[in-house]
Amino acid sequence: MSMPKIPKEKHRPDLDDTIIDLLESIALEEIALSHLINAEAENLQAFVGKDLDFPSNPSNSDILRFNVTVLRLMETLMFKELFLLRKLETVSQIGMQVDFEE
Amino acid sequence: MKRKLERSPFLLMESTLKMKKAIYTFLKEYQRFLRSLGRQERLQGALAPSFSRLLFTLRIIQQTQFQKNRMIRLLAARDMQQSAALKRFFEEEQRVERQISSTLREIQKYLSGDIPTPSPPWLLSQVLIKNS
Repeated sequence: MSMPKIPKEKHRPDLDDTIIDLLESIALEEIALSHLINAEAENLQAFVGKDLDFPSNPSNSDILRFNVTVLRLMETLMFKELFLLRKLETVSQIGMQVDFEE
Repeated sequence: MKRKLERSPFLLMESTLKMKKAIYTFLKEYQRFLRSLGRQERLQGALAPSFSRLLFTLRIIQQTQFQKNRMIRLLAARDMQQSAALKRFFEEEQRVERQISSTLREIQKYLSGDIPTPSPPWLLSQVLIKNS
């Protein structure tokens, strides 16, 4: 049994294009993460209020719960960052392998 | 037109820079949040341990970005012309990094020095019993 042969098509990207797409996807994902962090900063700003007066009148436990939510989001972003690093390493490795073979 | 691989490190560098700036904005707001709690020492005391967790999270993000920068440098090494532009990016990145570090130091100082840790709950109950 042989490996399947994928027929050539007009708009199918080659390996270089694929590597570029992957690298760009990493950059775009990271930009999306930076938007999330900015949104969380705005969330903090809204919670605290313009005049530091906590407009939603939260109780102490509300404040602690809010703090936990903020930290959880940051932890999730940390894991996402680790995944992006792994993706970048893999893509670079493929790129270097191609260079070496050429 | 054939796309150029050399453009990718620029995009990656830009996204890293955006991420760092967002972290700095977030930290500034977090600092404001802590300061706004003012005289509520018990609340400040309860938030202090969670800040060390946030610090740990940020350290990992920093380390991840450091590794990523190494990869970007490798990718950029293919084209020497890019080096000057990338140098500017790295300088800007270092500037934001310094701002982040100084904000973190300020928050740490605020949490550890200026605000006393709350009394343990058993002590509070003793006082309540005594008063009643």
